[in-house]
Amino acid sequence: MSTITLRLETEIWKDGELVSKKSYPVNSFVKQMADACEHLWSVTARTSIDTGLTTRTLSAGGNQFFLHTQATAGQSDRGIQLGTGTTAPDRDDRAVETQIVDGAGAGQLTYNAVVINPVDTISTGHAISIERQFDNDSGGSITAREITLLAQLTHTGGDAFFLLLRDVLNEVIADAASFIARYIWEFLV
Amino acid sequence: MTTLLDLREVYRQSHGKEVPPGTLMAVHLEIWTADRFGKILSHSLQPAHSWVTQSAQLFRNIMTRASEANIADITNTDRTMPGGPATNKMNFIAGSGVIANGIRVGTGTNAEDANDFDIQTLIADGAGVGQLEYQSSTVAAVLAVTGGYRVSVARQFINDSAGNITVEEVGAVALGNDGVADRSFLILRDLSTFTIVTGGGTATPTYQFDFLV
Repeated sequence: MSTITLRLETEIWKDGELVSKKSYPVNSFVKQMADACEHLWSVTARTSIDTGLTTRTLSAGGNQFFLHTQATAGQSDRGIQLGTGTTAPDRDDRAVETQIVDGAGAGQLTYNAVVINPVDTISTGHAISIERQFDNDSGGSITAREITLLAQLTHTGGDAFFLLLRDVLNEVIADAASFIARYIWEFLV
Repeated sequence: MTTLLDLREVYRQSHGKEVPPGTLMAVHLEIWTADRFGKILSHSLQPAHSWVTQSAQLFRNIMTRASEANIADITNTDRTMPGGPATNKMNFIAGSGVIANGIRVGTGTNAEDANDFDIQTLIADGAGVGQLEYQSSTVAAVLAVTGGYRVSVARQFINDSAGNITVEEVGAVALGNDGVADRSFLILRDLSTFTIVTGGGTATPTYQFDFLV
C-alpha cells in the first residue's frame, strides 16, 4: 500500500542460454530523485547537482525534460549505466564511481538501447520496467560492481544528466556474454 | 511537525512494521483541522493507499519521452500525452480557487481503486453550503531528514459556510499538457480519517512523499 517499490533483476546469457538470473531489492534513491520529483510536481526553479558535479537550476517553465531515462544504443550518459566502483551507495552520490564505457575494447561493454516497457497491471497496482542489455565483445571477462540510473533534465542553461539511483553488484560477464539489467517499479494501491 | 524527522520511524508508526526491502517511496496523508480561531482540533497521519493507473502512465510518458495513450483525465476522457518536452507533465501547483489540479477533497466514501479517475463527490470551491474555499496548492522544497528526503504537497481549505463539513476523501490531481490543452489527471486518491471542518475553520491535507535511502 501507498508505496513505490523497486527491484533489480539481472540476467546473463551466453550462447543462447541463460547462465544466471538474480533479483535484488533496491534501496538506493539519491537526493536528485527527490529534486527531480519536486521539480516535476511544482515546475518551479529548484537546484540540483548533475553528474558533472555542477549545481544546476532546474527550469521554472517552458518546454523541458523532467525524468527522461530512455537512451539509444551507445548512449551511456542516460538510462542504465554499469561501473566498476565498489564504494557503498550513499544518498549524496552524484554519479557512477567508475563507469564501464561503451565499446568493444578491453574493459568495455556495448550499451544497447534502454527499453521502458508498457505499463503492466499487477494484482497490487501497476508496474513499469526499465531494462538495458550490455554485450561483452571485449575478448575478456568484465566484472560489473555498480549500477546506476540516470535521467536528463532541463535546467536554465540547457540539459544535463542527473543520477537517480546507484547500487552495488557483483556480476561477472564473460567474453561474448550478454548482461541484462531490469529495474521494475511497482506503484502500489 | 518535528524537525528531527526519521522517515523509517514514521513508516514504522504508520504501518506498524519495518520498511520492507525495496521500498523506495512511501506516501502518507496528514490532515490538520483547526477552528476559526486557529486552535488545532484534530491531527491524523495515515498511510496513503492510492497510486492510481494514471500515475504509472504519466511516469512512463515522462521517462520514455514517447507518446502514451489512453490516460484517463478527471472527466474520464482518454488523453494521449505526446512524447516531447512540455511545461506541464505532472504539476500539482495551483492558485487559490483553482480546482483543476492540486489537492481536491470530497464526500465520497467508495474504497480506493487503481481505476479511480477523480474524486468521487467533489466539494466545490466557494463559501456556500457544503463548499470549501480552496487555497493555493503548494509543493514544498525537498527536506533532507534522517532516512531520506521528503517532498510535500499541501493545500488549506477554509470553511466559510455556516455549518460543519465532513471531508471523506482526498485526492491529488496533476496538470499535464497533451499538446492541445492542460488536462487534469488524478494521481492519488484516499479515503480520509473522519475529518470535520467546523464553520469558519480549516482543514489542511498534506501528501508526504518520503524517498527512503
